[in-house]
Amino acid sequence: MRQFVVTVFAVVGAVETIGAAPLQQRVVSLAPFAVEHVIVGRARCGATTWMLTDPPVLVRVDIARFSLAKTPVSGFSRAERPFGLACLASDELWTLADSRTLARMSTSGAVLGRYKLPQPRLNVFGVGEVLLLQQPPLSPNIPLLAAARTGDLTRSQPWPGPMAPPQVTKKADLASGLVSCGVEHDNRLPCWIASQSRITISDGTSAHTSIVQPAFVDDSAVDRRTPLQDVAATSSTGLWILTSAVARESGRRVGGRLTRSNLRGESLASIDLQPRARLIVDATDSSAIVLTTAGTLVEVRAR
Amino acid sequence: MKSKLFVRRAILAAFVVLMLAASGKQAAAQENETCLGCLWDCYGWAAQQNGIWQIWIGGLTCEASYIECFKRTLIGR
Repeated sequence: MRQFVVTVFAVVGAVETIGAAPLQQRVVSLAPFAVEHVIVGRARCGATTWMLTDPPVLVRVDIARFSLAKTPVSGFSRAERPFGLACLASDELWTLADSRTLARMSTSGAVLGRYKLPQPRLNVFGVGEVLLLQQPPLSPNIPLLAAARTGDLTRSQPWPGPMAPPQVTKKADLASGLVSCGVEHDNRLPCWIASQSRITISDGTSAHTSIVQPAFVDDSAVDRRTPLQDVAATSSTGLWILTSAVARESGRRVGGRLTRSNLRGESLASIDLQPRARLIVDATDSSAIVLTTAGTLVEVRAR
Repeated sequence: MKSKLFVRRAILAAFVVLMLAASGKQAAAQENETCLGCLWDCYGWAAQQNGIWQIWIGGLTCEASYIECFKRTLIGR
């Protein structure tokens, strides 16, 4: 028993030592790839990360080859402004065509079907085999994410994630009702309220739900309105947290610093990114790949 | 004459104080400005529709567009 405890401490210590190593960044993509428009959704399927922009273009990131490719999306009407992206098994891509319509897309950018939702939704994410739909914060303290299966979109279950604020503080406070989600690992998805730095990581069960409050965010120079730009879960012990930069670029908020954090919200190592990052494309325990504002893929790795 | 000047200065000072107080709120709502501007323009357009139902539908369309604009500005990347 004593040996077991010593071994556990040694393993935890080793993991934290890896995390505490300084970080270095290097460009891994062959050439800059222009993603001109705002990215309104990001989803992962296996070794591929997908992004959806507005106007709708699908961007495919092949993680193994560090390559990007664009596919125009066809089939949306002019009145539809797709938002959010989820990738489920067998490369099914889903987005919100409008607040009451989910659209299924092929990876070649064709809209394959539309599905009416019983209630308006603000965003869609994917984890495992379920879609996570964000509901508007119409009542205090309700879960903002609901899980639904594509077989029956009329039924949904509350997802243990960010909750609606306990009371409406300001009539025009939209930010405290909008949820962002990051990159999942092993069906554990990190999500947070846009105006907050508190992250809920969950696989949908309360037993595997944890809350991380990264204390270093409060001490950093970040855009206080949206402190977190992106988050990636890696193993059961760690997160990559991309905090927002104070200054915008081209009118768009960007990520300035990438931090390797443990689940206690402590910074193990961090690096200021230059050029700034738009989002995290992929992450493992020891490295993360970000898409920069220059259109390059940059790998950040512990030395 | 002096009292007039005093009143003018007092009004100017009050104006400056109000502007400074408002600047914090303006900064907090920076990303909202463009979307809000579009919303007011859209309401103007909706108000010019022919009948009450068209105005109503127009207003709803404006508010949906406002939320879409805000989502892109705040959580788009």
